[in-house]
Amino acid sequence: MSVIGIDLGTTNSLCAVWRNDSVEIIPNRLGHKMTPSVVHINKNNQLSVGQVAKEQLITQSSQTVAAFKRLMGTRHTIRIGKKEMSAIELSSLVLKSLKEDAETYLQESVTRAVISVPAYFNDNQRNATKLAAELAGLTVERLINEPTAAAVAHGVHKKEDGIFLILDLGGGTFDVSILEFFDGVMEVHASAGDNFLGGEDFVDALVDMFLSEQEIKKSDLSPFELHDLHMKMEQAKRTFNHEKEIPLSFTYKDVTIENKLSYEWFMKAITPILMRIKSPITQALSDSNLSLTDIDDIILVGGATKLEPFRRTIAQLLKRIPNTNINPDEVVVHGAAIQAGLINRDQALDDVVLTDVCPFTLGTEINNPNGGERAGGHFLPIIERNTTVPVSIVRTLESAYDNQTELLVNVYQGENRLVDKNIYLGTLSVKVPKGPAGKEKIDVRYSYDMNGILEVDVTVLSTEKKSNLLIENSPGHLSDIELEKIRKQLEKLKFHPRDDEINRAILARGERLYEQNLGELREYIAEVLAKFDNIVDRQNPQEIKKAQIQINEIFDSLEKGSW
Amino acid sequence: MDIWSILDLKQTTDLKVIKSAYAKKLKITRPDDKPEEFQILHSAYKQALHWAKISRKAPESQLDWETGVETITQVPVEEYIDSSSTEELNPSQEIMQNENPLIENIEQESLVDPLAQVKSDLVSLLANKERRNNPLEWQFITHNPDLLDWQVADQLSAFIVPKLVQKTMETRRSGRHKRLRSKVNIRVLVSTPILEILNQVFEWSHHPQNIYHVLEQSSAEYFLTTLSSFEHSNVEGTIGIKGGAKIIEKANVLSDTQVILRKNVQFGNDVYRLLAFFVDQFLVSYLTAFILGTEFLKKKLSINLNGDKFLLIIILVTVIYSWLMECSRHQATIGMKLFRLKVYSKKGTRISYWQGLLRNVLFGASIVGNFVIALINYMLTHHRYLHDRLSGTYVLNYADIKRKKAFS
Repeated sequence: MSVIGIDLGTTNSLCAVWRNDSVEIIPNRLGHKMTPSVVHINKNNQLSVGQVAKEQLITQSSQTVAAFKRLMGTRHTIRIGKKEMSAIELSSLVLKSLKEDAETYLQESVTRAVISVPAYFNDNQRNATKLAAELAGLTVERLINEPTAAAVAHGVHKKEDGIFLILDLGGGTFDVSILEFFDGVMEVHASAGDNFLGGEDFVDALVDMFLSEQEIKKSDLSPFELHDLHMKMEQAKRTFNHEKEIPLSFTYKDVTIENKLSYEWFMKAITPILMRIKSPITQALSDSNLSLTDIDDIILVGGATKLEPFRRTIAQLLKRIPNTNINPDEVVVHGAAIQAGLINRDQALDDVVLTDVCPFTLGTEINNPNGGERAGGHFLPIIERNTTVPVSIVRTLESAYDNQTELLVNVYQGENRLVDKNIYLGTLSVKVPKGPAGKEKIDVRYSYDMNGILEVDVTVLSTEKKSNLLIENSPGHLSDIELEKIRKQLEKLKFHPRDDEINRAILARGERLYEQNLGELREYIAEVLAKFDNIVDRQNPQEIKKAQIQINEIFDSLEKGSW
Repeated sequence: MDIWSILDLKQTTDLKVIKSAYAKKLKITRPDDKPEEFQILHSAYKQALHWAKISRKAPESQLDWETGVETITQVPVEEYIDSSSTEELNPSQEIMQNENPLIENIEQESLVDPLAQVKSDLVSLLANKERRNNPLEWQFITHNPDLLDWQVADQLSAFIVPKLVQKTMETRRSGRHKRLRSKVNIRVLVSTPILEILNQVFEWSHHPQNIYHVLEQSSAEYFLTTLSSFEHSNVEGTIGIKGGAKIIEKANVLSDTQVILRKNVQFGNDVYRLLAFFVDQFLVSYLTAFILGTEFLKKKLSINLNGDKFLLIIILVTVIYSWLMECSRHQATIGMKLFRLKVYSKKGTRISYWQGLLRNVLFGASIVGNFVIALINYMLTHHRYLHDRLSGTYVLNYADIKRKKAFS
């Protein structure tokens, strides 16, 4: 039985499998490699995921949602129509759709997967990802860090020794990893990142800059106007890779603003975002005790690295031209599929071993004996960031005051010396016999596994009682009953039949184009759509196929503006 | 076992030999299968590498130099770029190459100080108190593509930091003997939000050494402490989510009790609270009886006290007494103070007078309720009694709050 590799991205998701000594990317129901991570639920509880949903982002924005990966592991939920859903549930819908595609492609049932996550995802976010997979009926064999996956893909294909700096700028996250290859060993030296820096932020920066220059408040825009502007800026972002000036027309409250965006304007808007790429790079280099001259090659991963100013900034910062020989969109899923092959112990990968690191510091809250009034709330690091995993470290701690009967081990992740500024992961409480301060000792063991999931064990030395941490109150944690409830709710949502997926994608796209255009073009689109509806109704497969190709060509040229 | 025998190797400074020995061992000690053995192997490998690197640097190991030099795993930079660019040039790489001279241009320009304009803008901005605390005014720095270059940013950072920190010496006569005392005042000119914005550009908190270069010790320390006050804050963003009717932030999944528990504070336990109650009751009834018992009041009020009425009066006095005491800065009645108990609101602060009134009226009612309520209270978790729960207050062990945390 195959294990599939999944790249569950902020903007797009992909799925691949290791077969016949190579990676095969599994096409979705529309025949595309990339499935947009967008979910749409219509009024009849019918569900669409991917391209069809993405087309409806503008036309039915209140019932469609995208970029929800950013809410993974947080307490936020999103209202879609009448339903309220968490990022976990939404992600599980995307995973379910990928799973179905894989099953159709492989002609067998698929229940095991390797899923890639940003290296800088914390414990809550990783658990949320695992939960999403569980809800979709997939067992997670491994959570692999995205830059690591990219490096694996690069390493397995190139078989070149050396130290590589991997920069992964996805839709929503930025990860930096330093990886060394030698004799079939892939060793990650350090990972660092920014969970809120990605391709989407560049577009947001353009939208914000444009609105502030036009003195329009973002909240005054209707959802349609906002999405329209967003799409136009997204387009502009791509066009600036080869143009110096772009005309832009934007209709706000029936007034059309005609504007020309210059390259200088573009650079000015995105500079604050570009500035944020420096610090994770410096951190990764210093954590791994390497300097820029030790790096043999720079590998760019993630769709957003196609952005020309990003590449330029990297070249400027690192005084080096990054390697662009691999397709940044597909490299992560390649790596995930290779890892899946490794787990299946595929012969061709027998001589490859991968070691990864824990990208952040994990520790507990302690009382500082010299702290005086502010004794509490101090952070004691137990697993330091960029320690090679799997790792298991014990620290012995003792009671702080006389006759203490309960010790609380609060688990935190972060780099600050005070726990308040770190991320809270959970609490473990142990009972101890009464005694003078310092008499009772406990062993706190932190184990961080290959999936990046933390386990905390506490042993009271005097009673030898052991407890194990169940992170109960962390955001995103669900009890079995709650899980079952969500599973039932999700089952009520029905995917549209696969067959008419292509037709629906075309219709959704047509409707969006209809709304975006005016006048004659609009009438023309309506005419084309009506014709297509007619053909679909006649149910002649050959005729439909022909019409599909034709209408897509028409829409393509419409969108390129060459009409 | 020493590191060399773990690696199955003779002591060597040859990095390549160490690496291949480690690789060989690693294939049979996969981290997935044998996590503990892997950890031992890995740390031995790291130590061996470290040792080898140090011994290489030591002057006496001339011999090692001769054998080890070629084995450094690095490929010379220029060579590598050349080889990769001649292999296959895809379009985007070509673009990058064409723009190389452009990058150099930027560097050359920086010699002529492209920052002159920025610097003069900066000086005038800092001179105006209102303007300098307006984030929009700082756009000429935050949106300046020139600063994407590390060197340029560092250069400007060295210019800006001394201007942000103001140090004034204040001398005055004070104290009983009117001795001359001098006090040094250090302050940062801009507000915290601005500092946060600038820190994103110049990354001071990542490179504190840059601050020490341009400021003297005390100012530098002050500056870095100010910075660390907002460093690494937990950002949870809803930014960038598209679509959906609304994004809802679910209330904290932790109940208030759990929040207090997380702070490692202990609730006042039953025994102490009961003892405190007795102490208070004793005081109150003794005093009440004493005052009511005086001849003067007996005549004035001309009331005949029977047992029930007396009990009611005592309860009334108790309620008022505990209400005032618990809302005072002591946050405790005399009895509670003896047993180190204090009353706190949900936020961990002193309770308001209204809250205190509600709490104590309920408390009075539960005294009337007698055994039944006492029994219920006894069975409630965390020693949170009915009147604590209904009024949203907590009675906590005061000693724990002072020295609260669990271990050192």
